[in-house]
Amino acid sequence: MAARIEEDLLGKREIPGDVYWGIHTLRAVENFALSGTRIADLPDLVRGMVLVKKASALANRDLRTLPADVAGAIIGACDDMLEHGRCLDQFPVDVFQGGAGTSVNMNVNEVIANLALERLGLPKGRYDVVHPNDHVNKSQSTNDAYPTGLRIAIHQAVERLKAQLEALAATFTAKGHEFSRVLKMGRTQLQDAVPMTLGQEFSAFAALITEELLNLRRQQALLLEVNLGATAIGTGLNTPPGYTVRAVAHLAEVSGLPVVRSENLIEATSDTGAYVSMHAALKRVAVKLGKICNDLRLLSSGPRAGLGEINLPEMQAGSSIMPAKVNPVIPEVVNQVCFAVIGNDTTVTMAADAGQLQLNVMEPVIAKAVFESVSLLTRACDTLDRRCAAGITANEEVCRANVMNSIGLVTYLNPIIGHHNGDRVGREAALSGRSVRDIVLEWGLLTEDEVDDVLSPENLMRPRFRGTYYREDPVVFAPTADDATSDDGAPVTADADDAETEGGELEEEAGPRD
Amino acid sequence: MTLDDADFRIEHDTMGEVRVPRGALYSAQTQRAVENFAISGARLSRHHIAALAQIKRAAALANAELGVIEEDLARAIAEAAEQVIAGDHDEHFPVDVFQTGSGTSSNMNTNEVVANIAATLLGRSVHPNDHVNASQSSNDVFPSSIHIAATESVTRELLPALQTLAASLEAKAAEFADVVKAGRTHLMDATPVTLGQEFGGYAAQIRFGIERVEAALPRLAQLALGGTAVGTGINTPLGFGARATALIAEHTGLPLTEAKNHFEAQSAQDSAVEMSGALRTVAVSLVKICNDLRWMGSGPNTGLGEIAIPDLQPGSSIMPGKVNPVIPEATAMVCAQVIGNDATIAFAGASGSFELNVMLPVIARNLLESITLLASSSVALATRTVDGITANVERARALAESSPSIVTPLNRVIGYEAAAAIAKHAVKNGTTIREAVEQLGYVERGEVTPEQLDTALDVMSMTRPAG
Repeated sequence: MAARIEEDLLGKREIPGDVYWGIHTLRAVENFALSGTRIADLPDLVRGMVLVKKASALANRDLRTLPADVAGAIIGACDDMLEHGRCLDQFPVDVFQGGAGTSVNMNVNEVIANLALERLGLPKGRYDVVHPNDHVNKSQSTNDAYPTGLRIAIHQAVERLKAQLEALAATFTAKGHEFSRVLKMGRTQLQDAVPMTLGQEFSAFAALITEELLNLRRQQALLLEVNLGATAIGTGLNTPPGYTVRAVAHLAEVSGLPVVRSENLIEATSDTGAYVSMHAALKRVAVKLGKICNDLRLLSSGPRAGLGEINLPEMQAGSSIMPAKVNPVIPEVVNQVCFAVIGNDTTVTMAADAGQLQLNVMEPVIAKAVFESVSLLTRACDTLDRRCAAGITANEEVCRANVMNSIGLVTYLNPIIGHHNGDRVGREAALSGRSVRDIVLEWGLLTEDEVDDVLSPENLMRPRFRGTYYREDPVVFAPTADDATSDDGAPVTADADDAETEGGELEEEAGPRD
Repeated sequence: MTLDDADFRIEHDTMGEVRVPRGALYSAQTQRAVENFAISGARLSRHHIAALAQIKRAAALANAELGVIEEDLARAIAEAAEQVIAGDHDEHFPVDVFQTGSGTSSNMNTNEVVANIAATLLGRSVHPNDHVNASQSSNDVFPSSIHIAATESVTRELLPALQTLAASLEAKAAEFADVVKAGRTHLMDATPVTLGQEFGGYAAQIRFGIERVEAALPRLAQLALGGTAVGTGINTPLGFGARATALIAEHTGLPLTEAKNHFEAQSAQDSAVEMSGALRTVAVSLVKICNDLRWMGSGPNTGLGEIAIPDLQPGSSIMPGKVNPVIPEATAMVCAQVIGNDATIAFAGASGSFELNVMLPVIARNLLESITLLASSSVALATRTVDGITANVERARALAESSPSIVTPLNRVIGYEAAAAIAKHAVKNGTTIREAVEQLGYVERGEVTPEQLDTALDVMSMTRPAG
């Protein structure tokens, strides 16, 4: 196809005949040869921008600020892209770019104009009929169109992350049930603490992820406040009366999202707060996933010279020199993703801080960082879920032996033999390597029946209160969820509901307390 | 698109059968890694693949010299590695850059591709582990590959790019040596400077940046090769690390040396952290420079307007004729990314335990990205912005002469309080200081001679120490 000539305020340039983008895109590609990552690599952003263009064309058609046939062609072009995936490869501009997203907006305007011309049976570049600025960008500026499209796009990308987080939480919940009878040592400060179940540990992972889902949902809501209709600086210059309300209503309709207009369009045009808090939420997810992966790596360390309490599924040979070595590669890769996200958070913070007067021109790097973080976390969650968490098995014997050999068991005896005797037993056990049970019996501190009752697996997993009360007529409280929380804040039962429903025994014995 | 069975071959590894695409030069371990790590969609960078192949080439030659593998086998491996170094087989490196923390997947990918090519060249089988990986472990190969790739990118891309930028800034410093302008502190008018002095300051920032990067290079250029699994050099003949490193240095022309301490070289990535810190400092300098350029170029009519930044593209989709400082903006964004990448590298560097840092791939990714981004944006800033900057000489001088701070030399003639009154008068009435002196009758009353005024209010003379 023959090349065409396009012109802008800097002069004329030749554009390849087969491309849908135009002269602005060409200049941007030449100006910003920075990272090699293109806007086409962020399909959510392209889609968000096209939704804005469609909503705006619908509003301009309602208000007669665009001729019906031109508006129809633009709307049709948007549908070609949204529904049939056309021209999604026509966005060659680098994700790093100056100009507050103008190059993205103009790239979108140019592609839609040329697609609209094609629908009208006209050659590309006939901007006298459909013009990228005068028609596709009608009643808009980059400074309202771009942030609006970006917000919709981030919202949609985060939907996919939430789905993967939910799946991961469900897997950890299932593992929590599967391991509900696996007794193991709890640890604080990498030192033996008191027993718990492996199920409790995994249920805590699930709970921790569920909290993040709630936080992401809160941040998503902030993104749905848009400044469409603000145009250049929030004054609504060059928009017809009634445009903003209609454009935002159409955007809600075409996107299926409850978008609303910002209260103060001047503020909204330079504000990047919603991105900062969304990325902070992503960082929170990263920090939580990092903690889980660190735990998985610690618990599975070995096979002989580590903790060895759980086994991660074997995914691939671990070493090019050490035969039969298998490494926790999935948690490792997730940890690395988390570091990348934490780094991106610094980037977003700096960029948001660099807003000046009526605009923040650093939005493109915010977009790059947010999309990268969301995409990395989404795939990392899926990978962690299917290639690691779902296949984790417990080494029940190792877990149990750690408990039985542990000095931490003396903590259970504190209320009965006193802390000082506990110290003495503990020190003797540490020095001699003998078990707590043997020493307590030898020193006559408790009878065999008493020791075996306290140290029974059932009591170790769900400890019954054995302390004394200092009142004759204590007030009786029904057990609540709070009762099932240990000093470290971890739930003492695998499932709080279990405690109340199947725990008739627990209810009876929970007894009065003050 | 789905592929049917005919498009695959079955390969075996210690974990069982794997289906590998028929035309692939890689084998089972690479395929497993592809399936395990669908994380970012991004692969190892070109520099990094070449660096891994450089190691394979040098290792084969060193192994032959030390009698670990046969001569003809070594020659075939070296030749295969040369093809990979040249970039002929990049499509056979499909493993995601986010992968096992030791980079084992990419080391094995390289071993497999080189083994398959070498086997064809040699006409007999070549084993990825026993031959291509002989005397090595991922744990010394992968950190070494990061150091080679980063050393190369820094030496061949970043330092020349920074030299270009420094030279552009120095040329402008000379060009603008006589352009006097208002100095500013706290964004408030201060005593005059020349635009040349400001650009000279920017150039010095970049020159110091070059020194900082160069200062970090000798440690980055140390290679862990020879340490194998945990730094002890198990399964490696004595002298292998030194010889392999020398061969890589010779072939690449880079100043690479053997690690001074092999346990440090594998268990820590402090040298990468240090280089990233130098890059962050360069980024901070660039942001400062770009912010100043954007401020001085602000306008055209309601800003400072002391310089004109070249027009590169229309700036607005709604405001016709608007042209924005897009390259300084893009550069500032690159710097925000580099500073973010540095935070990642610091966290990853802090995450080593015992004999190996297992966050290596993300260190590699972010370090190499920062180098490339700084190099490309420095060149863009030099050639697309700095070289074309022009000074608005009249405007710059007028602002300098309006600055109330230039009354400072009048202190000596009429005293501090009178000088302050003149400054206030000038600010209140929007006049230059000279006009204020005349309007307030200091010349008429003979308190100041016109000659004294000329000397005291010569803004150019205020741009350098007296005498």
